[in-house]
Amino acid sequence: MCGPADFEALHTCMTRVAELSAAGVTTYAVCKTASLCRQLRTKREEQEETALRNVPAALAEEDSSGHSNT
Amino acid sequence: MKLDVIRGKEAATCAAIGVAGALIFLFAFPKGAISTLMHEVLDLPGPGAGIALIVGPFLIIVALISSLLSRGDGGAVIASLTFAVAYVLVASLLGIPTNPKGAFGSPVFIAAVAPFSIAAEAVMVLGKALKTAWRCMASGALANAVLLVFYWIVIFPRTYRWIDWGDVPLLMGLCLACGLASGYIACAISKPLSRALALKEKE
Repeated sequence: MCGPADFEALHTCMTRVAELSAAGVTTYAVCKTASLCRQLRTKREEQEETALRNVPAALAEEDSSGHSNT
Repeated sequence: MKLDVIRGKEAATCAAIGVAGALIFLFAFPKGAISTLMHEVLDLPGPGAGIALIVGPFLIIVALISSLLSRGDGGAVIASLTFAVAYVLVASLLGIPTNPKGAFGSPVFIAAVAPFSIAAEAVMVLGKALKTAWRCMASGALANAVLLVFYWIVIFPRTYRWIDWGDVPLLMGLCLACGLASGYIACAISKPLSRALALKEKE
C-alpha cells in the first residue's frame, strides 16, 4: 500500500466529483435550452419576414386583377 | 515542417483552460483520495496507479480540449504547463496539502508535465492525416505513458520506491487504456464546445 488510507478524503473526493458533474450537466442543459430557444426565435422571425415580403406581391396581384375587371 | 504556433487570444484561452483544470483538480482530489481509491478500493499495485488512471487522463482531457479548440499548434503544451504551474502555485499559496509521493506541490511536477505536454502536442501536430478521434486517442495513450514512465524513473524512486517489474505490464496496460479513453472523451467534449464558441463568434 502506497501510504496510509484516508477514506474521509475519498468520501470528500466522491462528493466533490458528484457536485462538479451536477454543475456540468446543469450548465450543459441551460446552454442547450438557450440555444434551442434562439433557434426557434430565429425561425419565427424568418417566417414573419417571408410573410411580409409576400404581402406587396399579393397586393399587386389584387390591383392588376381589379384594373382588368374595370 | 512548419508550425503554426498559436498566440494572443487563443494562447490565453488555452492558458485559462489549464488554470481552470488545475483548480478543478485541486478541488476534486484532496490529499490521500487518489491513493486510497487506487490501493485500498481497487487493490491496484503501485506506485503509479493514480498517475495512470486519474492524473494523466485528467491532464490529457485538459490538454487535448485546448489543442482542439485552437486553430494553431501549441495549445496542448500551453494548457498542460499552465495547469502544472497553477497547481503548484495555488497549492503553495493556499497551503493545500498534497501527497508528497506524487511531488504535486513542487516544481518537479512541472518537470514531469513538460515531456507529457510535448508528447501530446507532437501526436496532435504530426497526426493531422488521421481522423480527430484517432489522433486524440493516440495522443492520450502516448502522453499518459510518457508521464507514467517519467514518474517511475525520476520521481517515485526519490519519494517512495522503485516500481516492481512484475507490476509494470498491468499498470502500463491500464495507463494506455485510460490514455485512449481520455483522448476519446476529450474529442467528444470539444465538439459541442467548439460549435458553441463558433456560434458565439458569429453573433
